[in-house]
Amino acid sequence: MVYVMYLGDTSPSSFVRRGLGSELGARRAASHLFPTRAARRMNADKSSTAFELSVWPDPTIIASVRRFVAELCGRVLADGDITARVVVATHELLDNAVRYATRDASRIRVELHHLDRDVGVVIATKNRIDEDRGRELRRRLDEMRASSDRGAYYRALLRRAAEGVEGAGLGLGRVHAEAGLDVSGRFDDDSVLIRAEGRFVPTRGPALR
Amino acid sequence: MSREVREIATPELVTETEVRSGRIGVRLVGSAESVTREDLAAYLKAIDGVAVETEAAEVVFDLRALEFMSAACLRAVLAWLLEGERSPRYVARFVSDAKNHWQRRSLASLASIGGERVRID
Repeated sequence: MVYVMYLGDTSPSSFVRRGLGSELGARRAASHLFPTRAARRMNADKSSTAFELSVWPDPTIIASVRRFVAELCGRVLADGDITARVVVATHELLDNAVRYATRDASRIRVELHHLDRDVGVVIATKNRIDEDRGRELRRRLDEMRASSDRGAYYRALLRRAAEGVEGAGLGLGRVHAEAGLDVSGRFDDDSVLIRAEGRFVPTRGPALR
Repeated sequence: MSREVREIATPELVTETEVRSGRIGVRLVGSAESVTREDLAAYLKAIDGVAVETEAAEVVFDLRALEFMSAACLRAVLAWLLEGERSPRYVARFVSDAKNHWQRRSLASLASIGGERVRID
């Protein structure tokens, strides 16, 4: 089922580039926004749920989106652990997207996919950014990618954040380490698409209902 | 309510503080959003002052009514823990809700910085 909260004027395909594997990749290819043919295909796929939302830079809306995601995951996932991962990642990615947006609306897309025994999660945000933030973000993502140990990387990040280092990237680090999602970025002239994805084995019950 | 500590009373987050002999109890109610970060940092600084003044052995944070804590507020708690690490005088105990999975992970993060000073229930 596809929930479309708001349709922005940016190509939805820009949200969806890389795959978790062929299975999710194929699903992702079908996850363009309603009312495209691809969205209708995904709409017929009862094992996937997705929504996209466009928000103006208002920090107070982040909690509303987080609560909606928690409610949605509570209904379609039978797993509190995966729900918590999605909620944390949604909050931190949207928080960054809203906080650093230079203009226009920020966008977020959340996808939940039933993949045999696993649940596939994709969360993507897109927003306009200035050059300084773009450079900083690239550096943080490169650092994250170069790290071979999520736990060690996060502990170092926590220490930096505790010492008051501005722009320590704690939010992204939290998505990477606490939510356990792989985080990547794609930069255009004045915008950035941040994408977090992962697969998780449900602890009990069906992955999606 | 403590006379020494100014409670947080925002639409997002409310604190309830109880100062007893040797122990300070803090109940966080609501959600610690990014916009609450400065309030939380100021509050924690005040708690540290009272803990030192009253020679409290522990500060107990009851998080069971805390819906969520943003990274911005997590950072405020981390800074507070690190500050206390320089002159450890009391233990910080966190009482969590096992059903709130994010609490387990985030508290483990705090413990990795706070070391022996941090206890998680």
